[in-house]
Amino acid sequence: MEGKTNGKGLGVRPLARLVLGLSLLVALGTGMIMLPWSSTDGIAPLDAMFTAVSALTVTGLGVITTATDLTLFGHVMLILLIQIGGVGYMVLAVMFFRLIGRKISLLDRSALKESLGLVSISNVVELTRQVFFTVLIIEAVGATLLTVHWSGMMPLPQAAFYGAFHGVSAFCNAGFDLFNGNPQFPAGLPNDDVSLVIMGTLIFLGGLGIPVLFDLIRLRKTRRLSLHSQITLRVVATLVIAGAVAFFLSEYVSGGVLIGQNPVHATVMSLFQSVSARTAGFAVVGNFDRLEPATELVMMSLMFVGCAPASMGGGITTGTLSVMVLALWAFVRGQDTAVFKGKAIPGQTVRKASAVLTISILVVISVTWLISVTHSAPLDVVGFEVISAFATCGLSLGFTSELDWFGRLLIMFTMFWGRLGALTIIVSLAGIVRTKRIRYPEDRVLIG
Amino acid sequence: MLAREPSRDSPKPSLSFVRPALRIIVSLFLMVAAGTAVFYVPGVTTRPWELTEAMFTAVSALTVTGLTVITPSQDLTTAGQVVLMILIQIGGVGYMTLAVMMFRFIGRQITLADRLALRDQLGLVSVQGVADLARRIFITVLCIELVGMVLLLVVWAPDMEFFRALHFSAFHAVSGFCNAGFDLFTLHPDHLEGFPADPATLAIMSGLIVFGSLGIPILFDFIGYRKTGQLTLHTRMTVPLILTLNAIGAGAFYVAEAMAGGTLVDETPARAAMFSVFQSISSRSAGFIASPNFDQIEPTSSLLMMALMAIGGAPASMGGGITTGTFAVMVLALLAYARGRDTAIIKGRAIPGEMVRKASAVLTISILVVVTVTWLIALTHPGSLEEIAFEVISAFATCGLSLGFTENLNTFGRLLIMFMMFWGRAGALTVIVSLAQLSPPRRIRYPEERILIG
Repeated sequence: MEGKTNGKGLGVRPLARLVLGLSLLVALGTGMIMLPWSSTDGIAPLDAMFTAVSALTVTGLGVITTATDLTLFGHVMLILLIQIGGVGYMVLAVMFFRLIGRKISLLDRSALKESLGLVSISNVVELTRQVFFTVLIIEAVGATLLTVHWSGMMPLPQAAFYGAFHGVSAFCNAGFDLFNGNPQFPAGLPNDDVSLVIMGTLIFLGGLGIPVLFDLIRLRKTRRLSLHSQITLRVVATLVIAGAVAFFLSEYVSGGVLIGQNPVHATVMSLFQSVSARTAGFAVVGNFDRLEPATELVMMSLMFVGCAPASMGGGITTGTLSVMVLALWAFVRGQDTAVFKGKAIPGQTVRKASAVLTISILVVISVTWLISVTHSAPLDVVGFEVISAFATCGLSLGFTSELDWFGRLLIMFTMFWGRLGALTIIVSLAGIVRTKRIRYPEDRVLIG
Repeated sequence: MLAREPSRDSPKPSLSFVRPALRIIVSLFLMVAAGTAVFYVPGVTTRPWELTEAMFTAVSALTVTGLTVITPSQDLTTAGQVVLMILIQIGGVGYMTLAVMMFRFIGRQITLADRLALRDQLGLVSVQGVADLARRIFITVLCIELVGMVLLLVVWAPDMEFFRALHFSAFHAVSGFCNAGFDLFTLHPDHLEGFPADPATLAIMSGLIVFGSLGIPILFDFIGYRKTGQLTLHTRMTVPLILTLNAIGAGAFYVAEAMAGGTLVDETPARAAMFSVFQSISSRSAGFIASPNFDQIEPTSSLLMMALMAIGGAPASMGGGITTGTFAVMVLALLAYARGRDTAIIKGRAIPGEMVRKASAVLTISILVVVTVTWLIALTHPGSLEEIAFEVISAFATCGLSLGFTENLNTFGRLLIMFMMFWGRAGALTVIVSLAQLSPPRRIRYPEERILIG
């Protein structure tokens, strides 16, 4: 395979292929949604495209009401798109990390190789098969549980379809649902404890990413977790708990959208919302646009951090967050390298993490500015929307439907960017200058 | 402390940094205590102040921020206003000197690099130079402020009695150069129109603010230019960056407020442009408000202001924020990474990996602190996220712009904002460094292992 040889400019081609592939998928998706029997009442091309991008990037922001504007056939198309966007991309990402090899992430590649137990390129097919089966099994279990649970409140065939739809949507962290705006379910997404626990678990597993899932599956055999899994699990657990506590504090204790619930249920809801905010985007309460400002900030932070790398989630990823914090700590302690559990984090990983953080901030601020200057809305609402798109999350303070065509294009662009990974586009834009073997004299500037 | 200097080449790097970092914090604390006490001297205030009011004012002046819970034109006597000016001067110049000296003293562990950079830029070769350095800084600052004061006096003298013009021009020259942002016009019974918005005043103030936000290393670089005939990389990088930021800021403010319909719609294009330029310069750390109805600016503009404030001034200057140095290094490192280079490069020079590490540390801690404090204030105060975040970033950047939220702060909020101003002025890393190094680091080398990112 070409990926194995050390040809020049090799880094660019898989990258261009990836961007091209996603563009084709978007075109295909738009076509699927625009099929006459997909929508109940016809659908504008831009709406269809927005929905397709949102599904393929597993975001969940919607300018249409999924439940009523699409037919059953349309729902099937949508769930296919989500599945392709979620799993297909996940596999793509894993292969991408491997293929792109030398230039960007020789390091990532070896990390992946280690965590996936791959030793040669011929294993990609095997890997794809494994990923696919793992995903299908998890989704099947989730769908079955949801079907059983929901069969009490709707006819069995509908329960089966809803179970499957929401099982996929949750595991892929897409955040599309068939309840909101559905006259049959005026209360919106069922927020009883059982539904929340099932969906929360699916979201959580989807957000861990393939490397960690595989690591967990093999745990019985290997008896040790890779550093990546250890860090990811810790960071994810911390984020979920901190998010839930913060949500509970400002929405229940000091009075907000959860007021009037019983404490146990409020706790489950807070936990679910915290899990969901990190990139799935299911809203646990109908009046989500009336969150306290403190909660908005927590949600934005959680979305911005997002999920593990090579998972269903977007954002800067938990990997970036943990490396930045470890590097900060190492720096102030006067150590040369960031250290976690007796392992040093290489300098290049730190450089990559800062690049991810910087580009993410620049993109989010620029897009927020552009939307804010062309739309009239409070800053927190616009910022929330943009971060949600960037993190492929899909939570919204109700601003999505107010977007004009320019705003929609920008949000699509942001979802695209978020799903491809913070650095992917800029790397492909920047081109590779590896032929230049010049060493420059060092010089210092003042900082901070 | 000077007595310890000879030992700075000894192999005890951790200790040599703890002291200066702690020293900065302790000295800031002592100054705050003294500053607070001054406001209880009879004849300084026109009414008795609450403790948090006095503390808040002292912290805001000493950190050259300019956020205020009192009205300087009403709540302070003329003597009190002079006291405030002195506090600003101490906070601005004293700290600037302290920072420069710290960069020189602390050494090996974190900023051997900075120390060398500063030594090159300031032309210092030995410890004996420190007293001389302090003297030079002080004289430079006084000269700039004096020029600014005379110019302001010329502009303002026709409109008010001479002694008031003298008093006002001195106060605003200091407040402008130190990027403090305190002014005596707001709510003054004789100046109901607020801060003078004529072109001459704004031009003079802008000049003072820009000089203040360049920082001593760059000012000295300019002064020494005739002799040396060359500028350091730091200067060549920072000055264009500051110009770019000001231009972008002014353009964006104009677009949002004058074109798309905002607070400057009713102004003539020339005046709108003038306000935009001034506000852009001022937001990078000074915090003067000349533009009308500033607390009603568009959301777009407040995002812009927050971004400019967060970036702030140059290192070792009157400004706060993550500093232009951090911003530049992060962007260069990003570009270098995207292009597959090992090192960030500017103007044919490589930026050392350690600088990139420091810049990321600054950015990370800044985000963590700002988000945490914003959350704490949002949790305990009613108010929109926009105005709270604006206030916190303003405090962190020691800027002093506000969307009018300062007066809504309760005691807890005031303490938090004081903490932010303090943190911002001490420098993003200073507080955490002094905390982190209370226990000495272990000298172990660890095996490397990689994790996935982004």
